[in-house]
Amino acid sequence: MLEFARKHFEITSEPYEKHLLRLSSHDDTWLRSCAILQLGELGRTELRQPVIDALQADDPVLRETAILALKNLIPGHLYRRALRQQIANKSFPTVGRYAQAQLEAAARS
Amino acid sequence: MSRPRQNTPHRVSTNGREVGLSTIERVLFFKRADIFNQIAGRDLIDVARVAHQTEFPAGSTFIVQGDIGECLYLIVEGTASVNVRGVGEVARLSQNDVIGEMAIISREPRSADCLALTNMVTLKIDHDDFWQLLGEKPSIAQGVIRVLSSRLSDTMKQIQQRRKALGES
Repeated sequence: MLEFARKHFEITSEPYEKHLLRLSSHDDTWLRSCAILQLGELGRTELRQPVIDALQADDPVLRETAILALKNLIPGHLYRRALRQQIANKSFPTVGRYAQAQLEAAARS
Repeated sequence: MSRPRQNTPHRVSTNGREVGLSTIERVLFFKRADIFNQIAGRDLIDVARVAHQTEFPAGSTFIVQGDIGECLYLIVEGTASVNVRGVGEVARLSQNDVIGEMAIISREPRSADCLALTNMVTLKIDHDDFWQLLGEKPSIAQGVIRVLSSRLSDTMKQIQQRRKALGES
């Protein structure tokens, strides 16, 4: 559709990745979580910084999403280290439990 | 016909705390289910929070016809066979299908047995948790009402069409 708009109406749009990067720092934590999830699914390591930043977010859903996304973006040993850091942070117990489960899953695989 | 035995109790991960799926993954599963698809993703976070990840081994009957329904199950992984006694298998359900959704609206007797054909992972929502949520979050109630209203409208249309067909024949 964007291609059609560009071709016939000379309407241009920024690349998808740019939109995602913008949304990944949005004030709305749900929008931000969705963008972080998509960055993980894209799997492009050069786009990983917003995902790493989201590991320090105040919102537990956003933190969990960052853990999920990060799996595709950094090497296994760094991923495991990030999980251990989340487990050690007792301010976010649900995130810690999710990180623990991911660490156990990583050990099994 | 004898009642099937619920031969294997369901298992909830790690002392009842669900950890296998992230909240956003749960939200995405719920968003694909018909009964929840009119609810905004951000509101489904609360639905995801009251859901329990529940697993059933292959061969277990996890819903028994005639029992009062207390919860619904959303299938995350696996396949279930739905069997009505005296009739046989009426459906096979798999990923993203919901089993027993009317149980969270009204506690009615289950209309069929459900047998896990494979190992299953589900997200379970209890009636009481869901009703508490509906009271706290009107936007969730509105989404469910929209779906139920649409279904009622579809059913009314089907009845009218059948009446018309019967009248014409």
